[in-house]
Amino acid sequence: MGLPSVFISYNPNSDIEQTLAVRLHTIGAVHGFNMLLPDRRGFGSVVSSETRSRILEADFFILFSTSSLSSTVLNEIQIASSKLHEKSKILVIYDITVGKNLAGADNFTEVYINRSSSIEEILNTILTKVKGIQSNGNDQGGFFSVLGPILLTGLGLFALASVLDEPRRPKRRLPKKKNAPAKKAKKAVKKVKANATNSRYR
Amino acid sequence: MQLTAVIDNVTLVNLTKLKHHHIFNSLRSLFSQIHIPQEVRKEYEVQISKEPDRVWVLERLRPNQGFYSACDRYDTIALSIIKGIKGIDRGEAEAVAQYRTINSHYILSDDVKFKKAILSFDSRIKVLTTLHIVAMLDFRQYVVNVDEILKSLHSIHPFNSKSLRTAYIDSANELGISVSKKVLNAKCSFKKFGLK
Repeated sequence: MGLPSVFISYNPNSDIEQTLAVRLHTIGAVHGFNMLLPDRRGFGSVVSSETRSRILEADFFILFSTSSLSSTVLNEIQIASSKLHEKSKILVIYDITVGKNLAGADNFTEVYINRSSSIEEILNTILTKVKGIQSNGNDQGGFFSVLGPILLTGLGLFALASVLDEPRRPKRRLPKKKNAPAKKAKKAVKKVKANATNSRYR
Repeated sequence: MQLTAVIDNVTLVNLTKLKHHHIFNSLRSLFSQIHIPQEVRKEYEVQISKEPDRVWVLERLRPNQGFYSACDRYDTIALSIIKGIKGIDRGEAEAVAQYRTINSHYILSDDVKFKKAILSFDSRIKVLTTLHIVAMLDFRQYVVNVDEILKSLHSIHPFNSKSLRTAYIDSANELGISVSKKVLNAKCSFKKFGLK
């Protein structure tokens, strides 16, 4: 029997979640899992038929819910929950600082991480959770025993991504008031130049 | 099924020249195995005295196993057919025959003529260039010095902005991710790299 199919959902507007999902997809694929990602090309908030069929094909569903959830992601998890009824088959990873931002998600396995913690701390949190599920015998289909190590690697990368993300954040724009004199100054320079040119042709 | 690729000589040479950018370490994040056909190995070994870095790869080659696999499995019928296609040399023909036998996911090749010839023969074959590899690594943020890698690559294997753009678009399409025109322009700007 081959390794299971895993669908990874992420918020389309979150670069960090996208990078993480893509990394996790690659890590899983390199290890022989059938990793599936949503088709986000030009569908806006609509779940494409391709994405829908990928979700329905998947044995497990992972969602990074670390920022405000988009309607696309909500639709995707609805499709997943209509197919996957076991708690262990849908895993939602929340950021503890954001909290549980997914309503009606009591039937899913929840993992809370703190992105400001060290990588080791995050890994410990997840590992404890995963071990707890395994020891309670809720690991139906061997999800965590098979996917656990990969998930942990992915989460390690998540923490790493958050570190990498820090310097990449866009710089804050200066308030308009401060920009105004600069514009005026430019206009003034233009005026002076224009006057100088005109005076040459007079 | 694990992600594997069969590599052609030109791409292997290009990657070797990018070794100082730790490109070989990053390859392990993208593929589970890279197959090197016998003929490609022979071609690669030719310039070993001029380029000592090639020893690094050759030392890691294991017959039909390991990350760098010296693969000798071919579909002989496919090999004889592919050899007859115009624009495909012996090493490339072996790469395709091997790709089919071992059910690999990709052929890594920077030879434009080969790509054109093989896609006209079988459009389902997935050919990735070194630019695709760089784009794949960039999207996953596995490399932080993309500009330097592209500059180095351009000096050893010149490419144009269009090829770079195609590589990024192909990689984004494969992942199903949406990349805005602005981001794409920034990633493929020759001006930014100081290239012409």
